[in-house]
Amino acid sequence: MGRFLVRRIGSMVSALWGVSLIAFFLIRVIPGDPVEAYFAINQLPASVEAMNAIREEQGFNKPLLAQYASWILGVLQLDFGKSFSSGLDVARSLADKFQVTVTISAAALIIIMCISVSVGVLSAVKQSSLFDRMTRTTVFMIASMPSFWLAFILVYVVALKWGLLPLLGWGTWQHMILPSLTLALGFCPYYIRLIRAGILEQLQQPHVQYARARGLKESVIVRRYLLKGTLPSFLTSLAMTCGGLLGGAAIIEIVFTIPGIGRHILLAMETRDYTVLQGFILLIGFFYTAINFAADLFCAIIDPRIRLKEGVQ
Amino acid sequence: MGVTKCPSKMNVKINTYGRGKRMKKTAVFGTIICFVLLLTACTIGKANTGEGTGDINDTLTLSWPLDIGPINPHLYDPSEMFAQALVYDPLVSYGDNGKIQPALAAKWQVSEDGRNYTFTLREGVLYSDGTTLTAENVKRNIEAVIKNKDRHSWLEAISLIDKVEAIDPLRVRIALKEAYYPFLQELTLIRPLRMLGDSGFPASGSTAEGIAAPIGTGPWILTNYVQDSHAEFSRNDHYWGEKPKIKRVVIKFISDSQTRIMALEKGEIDLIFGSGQLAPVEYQTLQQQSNYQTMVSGPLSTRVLAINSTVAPTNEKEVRLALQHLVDRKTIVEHLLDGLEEEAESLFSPGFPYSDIKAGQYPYNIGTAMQLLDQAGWKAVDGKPFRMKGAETLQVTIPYRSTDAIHKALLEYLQSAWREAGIDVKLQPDEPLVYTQKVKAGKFNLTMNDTWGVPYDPHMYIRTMTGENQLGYYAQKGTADSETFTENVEKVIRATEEVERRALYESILQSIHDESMLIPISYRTNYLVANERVNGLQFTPHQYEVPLSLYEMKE
Repeated sequence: MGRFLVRRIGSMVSALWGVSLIAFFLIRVIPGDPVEAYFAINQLPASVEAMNAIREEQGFNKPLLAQYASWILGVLQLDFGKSFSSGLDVARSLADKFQVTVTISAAALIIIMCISVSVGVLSAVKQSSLFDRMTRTTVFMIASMPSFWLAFILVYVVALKWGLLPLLGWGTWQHMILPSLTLALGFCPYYIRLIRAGILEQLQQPHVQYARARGLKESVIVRRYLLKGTLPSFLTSLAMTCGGLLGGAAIIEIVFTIPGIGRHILLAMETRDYTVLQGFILLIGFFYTAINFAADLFCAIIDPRIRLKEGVQ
Repeated sequence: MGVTKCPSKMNVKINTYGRGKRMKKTAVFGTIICFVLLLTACTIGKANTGEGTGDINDTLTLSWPLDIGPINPHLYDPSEMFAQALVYDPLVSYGDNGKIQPALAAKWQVSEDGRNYTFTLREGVLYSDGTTLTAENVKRNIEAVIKNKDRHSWLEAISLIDKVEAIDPLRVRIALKEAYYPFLQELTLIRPLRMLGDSGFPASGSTAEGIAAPIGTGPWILTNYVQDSHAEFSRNDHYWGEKPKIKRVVIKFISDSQTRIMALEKGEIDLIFGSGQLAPVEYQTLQQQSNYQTMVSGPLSTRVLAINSTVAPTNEKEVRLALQHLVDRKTIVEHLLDGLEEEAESLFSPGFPYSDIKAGQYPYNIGTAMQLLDQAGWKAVDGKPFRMKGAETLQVTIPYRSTDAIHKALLEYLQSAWREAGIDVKLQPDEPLVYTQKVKAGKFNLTMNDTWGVPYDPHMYIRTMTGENQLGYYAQKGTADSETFTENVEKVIRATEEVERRALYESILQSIHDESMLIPISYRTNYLVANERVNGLQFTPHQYEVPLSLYEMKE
């Protein structure tokens, strides 16, 4: 297990270093620089001298490698720099906003798991039943709806017409329900189909037929054999979805006026706030690799074949 | 028998145990559900009453598309101008028709050479921390802004300040390097020359690095702020002017217009203020509903189509004149702007300073336009959709910000309308920063632009037309009048005599018209939608101010 961990952590570090390079150099390829953006957003005419003076003050005129070295050294000491447009500490503002987005995403993840597992298993076990057919139709409908539209429908019906939940803002757990439900519903169709297909495949396996022949209860077969067999692919796929959830949260945050990271980054993109964007990309990179690491670890624990393949004893 | 009894007893025991466990589980689950429902019922009511506490009848809640930022009076983005105006006051303010009015300065004197301004401060003006406004404090503010003059290079008033002197506790003198008539007008701006209390300055004394607290003399005090969520302002009971009628204002940051409308419908906000918050069609929809009050302001700035006179084919005067005759303002205002703006007959609204000049008009007339194009050698050719001159097609490129839905609709309309006159219009939707770079490099034939609006117009818009890499520069540079135009602009801002200034402005505006540098389309306005709880709705002449002090809430 030790070798497995060392190898995975090593690949995580090298992946993050690659992400830092991409984060730093790629965003500088995009046309427009923060100083120009600053004047453009404020609709101020800028002279070349004024722009050069600000570039010098912010260190944007130094060679790129020197800028990268200074940034990455700061990052290693957990100093992500200050935002050019707001002057705020990047690490602190990202942490504050990320906390909100992660809360919505985590709630959405729980909803995805609950809905997908229960509906997926039921429609597989009751294959071709009325329930299965209805699920298939609903799944297609939801999958083809854009998330912002779904958000507006939910807000209009649940918050505005029925008045059951608050429409705007953030702070209480009621504020969390509609955004996370909207976010989750967009992902559920894929996982319902995935679990249904996985279970149907498992149903044909000899060990399941043997369990049936032994007279085990259907609920025991589902829990012990069918679900367990489907879980590794479901979990790996779910881990990959975490990034998508964070991305999807940006639109949801705009519709529900939530002070999350999505809105923050859209603004940083408009203003070409390099330090904020670099910090964000690195943070997402870390989040992604950490989730995948956790998923790999979990799969290795529940599936002995993976452990054996990786040489973990 | 003994053998068979024993397992049967065991089974009974196990089953009883299983049923008990299930019942227990059900009970726990039921309790949790009840608790959750109870909690929802209690907290939903709380969540719907708005942010924080306070009497709802004394609180006005409005939406704003962006976070108000740190509201540093001496800096720009991400501080929102309207919020800066709530907290900080200028020395002088901008009244109707551009008349300069007293604000923190009760009176002022200008020396004959136009270089020295002596302001006498209003007595007993208090900052929100209880300290008194003094000449020393005004001096400190102006010097803090000058220290960071690179960021303010667009504002001539700042680069021209030579010296600030506190003559006595209530008198401050500002000496300019040379005469500059719009100095008072630029002091009325929301930023960067409004006054911050001494306790608002950071330890370093440099407001360019940030402020310690938003301490101002304005009608409102920032009492609560949650970044990216909301801000609360309370009435400043020590305010020197007419005190606000409402005790508290809550500003919710809502970036999506549909969410804003739903929040208004649900009563979570009382007011949507500003043309940037609602599309014309959304405003009209709300206007048709009887439970909302709607209002449109007078002209605030002008929507223009700027023509690049330095590149072909718009470097030809006849082509520029033909384009003037091809703009059907009536259709644009009625159908694309839903009647929310006025047709612009001149570059600036006649109510603006030095703008009541009759420079002439170009009526919409396709026949005249075609005649002008024929004269310029751009002829209609059989079998070709567009006019040609030799092997060249009459083609104009128009880049625009892809995020601006109104510009998109307007330009798409012109594209189809001008096709009838044989002009091939290439529209280029660009990301805002790419668009800015394109315009700065002069890579366009035409593009949409707004004049700066009050209190900047007319002098600042005209002034930027002489600065290299500016949009207006490309409009005048290729014309026959360019040299005289530039000279006149330089002269007009240094002129100390009113008569001379008026004559120079007349000549400048006439050149813009005669050489067809800019095509005025419509006068932009502000609009608002409020529910029936709000009373006393109105606008101020300043386009970036929201006059919350004048509004009231019904019982």
